[in-house]
Amino acid sequence: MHAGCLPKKIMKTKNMKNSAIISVSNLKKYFSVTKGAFLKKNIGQVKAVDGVSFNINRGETFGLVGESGCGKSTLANMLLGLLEPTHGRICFEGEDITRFDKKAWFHFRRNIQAVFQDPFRSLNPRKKVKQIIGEPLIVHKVGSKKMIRERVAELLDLVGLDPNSLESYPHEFSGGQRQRIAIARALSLEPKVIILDEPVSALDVSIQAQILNLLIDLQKKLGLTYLIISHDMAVVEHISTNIGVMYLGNLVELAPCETLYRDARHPYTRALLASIPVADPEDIKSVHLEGEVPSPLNPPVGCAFHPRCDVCQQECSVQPPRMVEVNPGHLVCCENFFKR
Amino acid sequence: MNTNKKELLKIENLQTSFFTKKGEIKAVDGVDLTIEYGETVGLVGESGSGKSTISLSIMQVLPQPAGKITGGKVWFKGENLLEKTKEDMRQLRGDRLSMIMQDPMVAMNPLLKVGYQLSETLKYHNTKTVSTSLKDRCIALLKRVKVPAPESRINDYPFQFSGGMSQRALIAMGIANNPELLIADEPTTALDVTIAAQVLGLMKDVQKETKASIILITHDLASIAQICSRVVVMYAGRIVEKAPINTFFKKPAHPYSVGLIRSVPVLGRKTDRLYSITGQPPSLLNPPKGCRFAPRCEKAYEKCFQQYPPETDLGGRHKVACWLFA
Repeated sequence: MHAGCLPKKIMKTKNMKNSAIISVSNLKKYFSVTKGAFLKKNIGQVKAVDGVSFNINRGETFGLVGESGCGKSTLANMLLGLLEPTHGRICFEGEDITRFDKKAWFHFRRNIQAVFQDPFRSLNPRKKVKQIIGEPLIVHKVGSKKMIRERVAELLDLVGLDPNSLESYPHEFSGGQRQRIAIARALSLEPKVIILDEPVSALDVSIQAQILNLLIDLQKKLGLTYLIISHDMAVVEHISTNIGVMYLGNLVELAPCETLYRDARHPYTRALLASIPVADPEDIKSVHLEGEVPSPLNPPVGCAFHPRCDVCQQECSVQPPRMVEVNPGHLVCCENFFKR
Repeated sequence: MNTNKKELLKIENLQTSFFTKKGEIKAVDGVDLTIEYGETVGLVGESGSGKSTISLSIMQVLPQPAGKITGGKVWFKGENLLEKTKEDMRQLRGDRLSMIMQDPMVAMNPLLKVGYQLSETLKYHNTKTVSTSLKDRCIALLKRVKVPAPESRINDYPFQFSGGMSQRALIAMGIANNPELLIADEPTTALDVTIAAQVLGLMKDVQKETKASIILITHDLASIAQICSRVVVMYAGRIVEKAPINTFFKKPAHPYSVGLIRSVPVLGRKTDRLYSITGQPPSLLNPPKGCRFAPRCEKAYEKCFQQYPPETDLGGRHKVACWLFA
């Protein structure tokens, strides 16, 4: 399937208009599935990410949504260099980072940092706040002990925590405060891009809003670029400039935030938007998506979404659809779109 | 004793504490709550507000030895559950009262087949049933919660079930003996949005079919709006507002409820800044003297910091504990 392939022409024009800080082209990650303990027999492949292309411009927020198992986190891990892509390129400011060796990655990693989902697991319980936030600074040998201490206090202040809590341990903080520590750690090396993997889904509603506001403020102040991954469409919509919708390893729709909400074209995006429960008792949702995401080990032939699609045509089960640009910046991967 | 025939469950001044090394934590501190027959009530609150502790107190399955009910009464169909013996409670649990636990992947025993775990509930409360009809009943139950191919699925282990399927199986266990009160503790938090929507739909159908009263515990206002008829808001161990669903979303009274509703991002209504309630919920080891929300409240005045507000009836089953209305 080459469904996610972006036509070259579009990429060029995009590059010229805005400076893309990250450009991903035809990225694939296959995991082989083995059976047996000693003679590992290859019994198949999981196409976790299967030909995804998109650009992230400097200073914008790119949102990635989809159900669990659709490859969002695999994609993020490849951008962080935690997984090696099977195929494709990831360019950071024009440089192909997939070809980097270990040493190059070490120096490069300052540019991309991450904030993870669960602040109860992402912070080492045995380390003090100053050690947690200061560790990246020590690893990258940024200045003396005193300078690092000052920098950590400055970072704590930046994320809205008491700069005097340097000597505290993570367990002394609540979930929202812990997520602030994780954000401070990600900011310590002054990265250009931060990857936010479900940054608020483990938090309470009232705290969620605080963290989202903090992220928006930091972006304005420091000129950061975000890639936010979430299954909560409302959160993604609130913070993003562009949104990509993933289904079973493929990008099925890519659009500017307002367009996606107003004018979603892919049946999956539409169903997703329609089935999300809303906090309004007068807007009761009926179930729009029956069934579950098929196993990526044995994905459906043709369009991966066709078994759950309500506008499915005969050819959908034969030929995988191509990515087409319906409006500038709005790409949809659905054959049916032309006929309607 | 209550004489009202509409009331299935009546909690009076319930107090539940956890005794830890640091001292007594009053997780539930004087809660009054009534659940009527066939009603779906949503219990909202932040983590640590005591919503799960209420459900564990009703079921009397508090973590031991730390958890203890220190006062109050729980009337279930006119009988005080807190005076029942352990054996009597065991007969009620899973039969008249049942509970759907939070994390579907953890709530089941990984070493036992799903069918076996499902039949356990049936077997315990219907000792006379023969095993062949038990199997049929298990299949029928799984079919009722829309698990595909239930005939073969009963022989699967929990790890072979996806998150959504496990949650369905747990719902099947919960409704196995047609309970009169079903407590669902965050049934959709561990699930994807699309699957969560399916599970909520299922809960609604189950309610219609069995006519059971449901207590839905969650911090997600959206799922409450979708299936509940009444909302109860908790903050730091106490109930701050009780309201019918439409009133709650249209005219929330308590400043905490107002903040909660305003801080949820709404699809299609993009704003520059989300409203957020500043600060953190208080520690229950030594809660603030007056209203517990006062330190975070924009409208708080002197009195709020001195005395806990009484519950004021605003009419139409809408009650609020706030000095602004007292």
